[in-house]
Amino acid sequence: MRRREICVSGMGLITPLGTGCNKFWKNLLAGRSAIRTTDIFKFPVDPDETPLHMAAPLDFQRISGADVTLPEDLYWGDRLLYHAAQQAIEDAGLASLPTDTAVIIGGGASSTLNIEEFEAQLALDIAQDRPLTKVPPGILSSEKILANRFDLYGPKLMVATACSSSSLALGYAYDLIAMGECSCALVGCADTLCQLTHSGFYGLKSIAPDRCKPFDENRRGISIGEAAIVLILEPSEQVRQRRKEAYCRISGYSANCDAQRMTSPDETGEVWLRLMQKGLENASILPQDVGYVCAHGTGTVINDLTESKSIQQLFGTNSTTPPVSSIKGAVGHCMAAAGIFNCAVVALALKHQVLPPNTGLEEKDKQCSITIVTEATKANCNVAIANAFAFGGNNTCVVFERCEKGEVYDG
Amino acid sequence: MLCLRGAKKGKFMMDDGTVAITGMGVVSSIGTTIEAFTESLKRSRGGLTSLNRFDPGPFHATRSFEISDFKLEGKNARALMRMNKNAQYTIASARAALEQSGYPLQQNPYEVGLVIGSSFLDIALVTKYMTDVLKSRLTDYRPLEFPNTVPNATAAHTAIELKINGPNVTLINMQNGAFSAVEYAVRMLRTGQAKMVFVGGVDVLARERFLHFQQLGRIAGAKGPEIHIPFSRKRNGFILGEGCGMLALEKAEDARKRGALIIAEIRSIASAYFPCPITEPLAADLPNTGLLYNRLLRMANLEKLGIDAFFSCACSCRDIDAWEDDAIASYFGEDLPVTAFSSFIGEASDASLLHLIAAGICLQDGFLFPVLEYPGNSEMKSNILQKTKIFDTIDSVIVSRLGLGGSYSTVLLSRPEI
Repeated sequence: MRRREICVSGMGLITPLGTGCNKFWKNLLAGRSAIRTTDIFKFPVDPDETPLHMAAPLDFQRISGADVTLPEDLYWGDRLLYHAAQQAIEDAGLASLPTDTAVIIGGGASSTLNIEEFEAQLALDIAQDRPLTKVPPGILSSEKILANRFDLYGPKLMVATACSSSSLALGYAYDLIAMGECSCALVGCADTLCQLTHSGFYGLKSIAPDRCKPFDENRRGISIGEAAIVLILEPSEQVRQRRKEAYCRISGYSANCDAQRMTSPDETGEVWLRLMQKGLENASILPQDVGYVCAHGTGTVINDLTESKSIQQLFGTNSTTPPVSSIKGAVGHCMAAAGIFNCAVVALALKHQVLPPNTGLEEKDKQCSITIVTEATKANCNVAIANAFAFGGNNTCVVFERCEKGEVYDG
Repeated sequence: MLCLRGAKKGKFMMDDGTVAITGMGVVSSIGTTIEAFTESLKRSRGGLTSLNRFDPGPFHATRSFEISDFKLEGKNARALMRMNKNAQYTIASARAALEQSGYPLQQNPYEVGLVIGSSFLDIALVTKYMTDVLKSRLTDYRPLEFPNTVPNATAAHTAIELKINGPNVTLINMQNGAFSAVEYAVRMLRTGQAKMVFVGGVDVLARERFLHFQQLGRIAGAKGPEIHIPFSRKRNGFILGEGCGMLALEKAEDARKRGALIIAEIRSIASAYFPCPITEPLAADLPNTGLLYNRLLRMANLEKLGIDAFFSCACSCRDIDAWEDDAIASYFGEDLPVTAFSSFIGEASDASLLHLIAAGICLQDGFLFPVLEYPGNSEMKSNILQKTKIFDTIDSVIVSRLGLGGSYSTVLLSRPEI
């Protein structure tokens, strides 16, 4: 089956390290971390118990200032998604989206259930000692809200595989365009800090007491972040016709499932090895051509060790592995948005030919025999992959290629 | 002329290529095995019963299509029965579909995918979990329940239980997630991501789901009698149902090569998407169903006359039933037999995958079931069945589904070519 060449033509980023590609990228390359103590969680427990208050939040006020044109009852996550989409459309150089544009959204805890609104209603019912009496009408509908907003008639769907939701959504959007079923796709995810997620990871004792440190000898867990990321995908030819420089090409992707446990991976690394192998096979790319791996790298002991094992198995150890980094020490684990966030980072790395650092790394775990990027590094990278792993063992790997000579990193 | 702009440009889903259904599994209010389910269809026996699962609180509701006789059996049964109902229903359905398909899953676990559509996921569990967290102020709740609150928990548990290592996908498309899942699964087969895909749709009776539709004014009984009779003059909303339907899908040529029994073939799928309020199934700018049906038939290389019956998405709502009746009669004429499976299981959200299974059984066994208790309605233009019809053979049928927020899907099923 002939497939069209697909590229990332525009991006909209609302991140804990700033809004917009330029600001985010500059801060990421500078090794800054947005993880800090925050008072946004409402748990009435000991305020000194730091894991409960460490997170990488967005700058809420700055973003909500631009909300005047949106309906008042639009949920916070959907608001963010809309702003990210506007940014991405502008960045792609499009006056408007083609009417057949697909809207494929990755759904997570806050974005699928708009959980803060749901919690507010729950809290009210609990306070008044009555059973739940109202369910927010707009639940589980982010893709439809966006499609309505932009007057779109293409396929619209929410893919919900927890922390790999958004990269699988990207894979699906890629398939839709590649097979000629639409001429453009708006694919993204907004996952926001919410009490369900935070209390859950806290209860599982997975939250780091300080900042998360992926691949570090002393890593002690995750830090939760939030983000809204939207990518515009189009056939490369369409982008070239309007003389726009794309970020990168999407060459293929893969998905698989550990099928072992809900919260921890197959520790041999075999499932994730097969994932990356399949992704490269689908993209017709050899492992030795891969110049960068944007790791899922959550900062938990088992995840990072397993991921490094699978990378070693695929590429060899240390000097033979491509450079690897995780952005979670900088922006936290943005849950359902984490997958497409990694994809955006790969797109920026390929465009600018700079690899971002693994923020927070102090002393590399000797068991993780892979090459970690410790500071922003100029590179000659033609192929990069982005990993995303999720509860339930839902895994996705997306393969990207440099499509044109990118801008030169000026530091 | 009202039209679907995407349709004008021919931007519907799927190209040609046939996919075989080689296994089916059901958990429904009319049977929790294929045999019982088939018997209910043949005997026109619906699953309507009293509402026992939850207290509808201040709202008037006394009836439901709830499942009361389900028991998970076999390996790990005792442990699995402690899981939430979504997972129980899905695991049971998937096991049955696997068994019927005879697919050597253990030999090829990475070549097998699982796609689940669900509108409401396990919303009751999320409510319970958050209630405990908020009430106990983080001192007395069950953190180990947290992983089960993720949207993909049901699909993950099913993959773990059956050891399915291929792509594992959960899709949400309010009320149309099951048909979206079928579309997704067919694409997985066509792009070579999997050689076999289990595709399911599941939703359970939950107070939250009831409240949602109550708020939207869709529950029967508020503006008339508490009935669920699609196309009837007295229809005024639906009664909720629940369950899970599961199909085992393979490329038809692959299924034939391994000598599998093909129950039915998915010849084509076409969906229309249109801007629409997220809480409504229909909008002022309605999809051009004529273009959609044209596309569906063209992809299957069939003419209108090649269609023997239409399994409508009618769900006892005034607007939806009237709209689709008009669409069917306008395109296919007023003679085409039309039935509505929701009269057997109620409005089951993404357990609506059971509609495809019901249609598959009709193709296989050569009969069409009626719309239960349908007394006739002169306002309707289509040939809506009031009695079971027996045929020598039924060759091809269309099954449809309308979601909230602007999506309408149609699947063309055919009897397998020998």
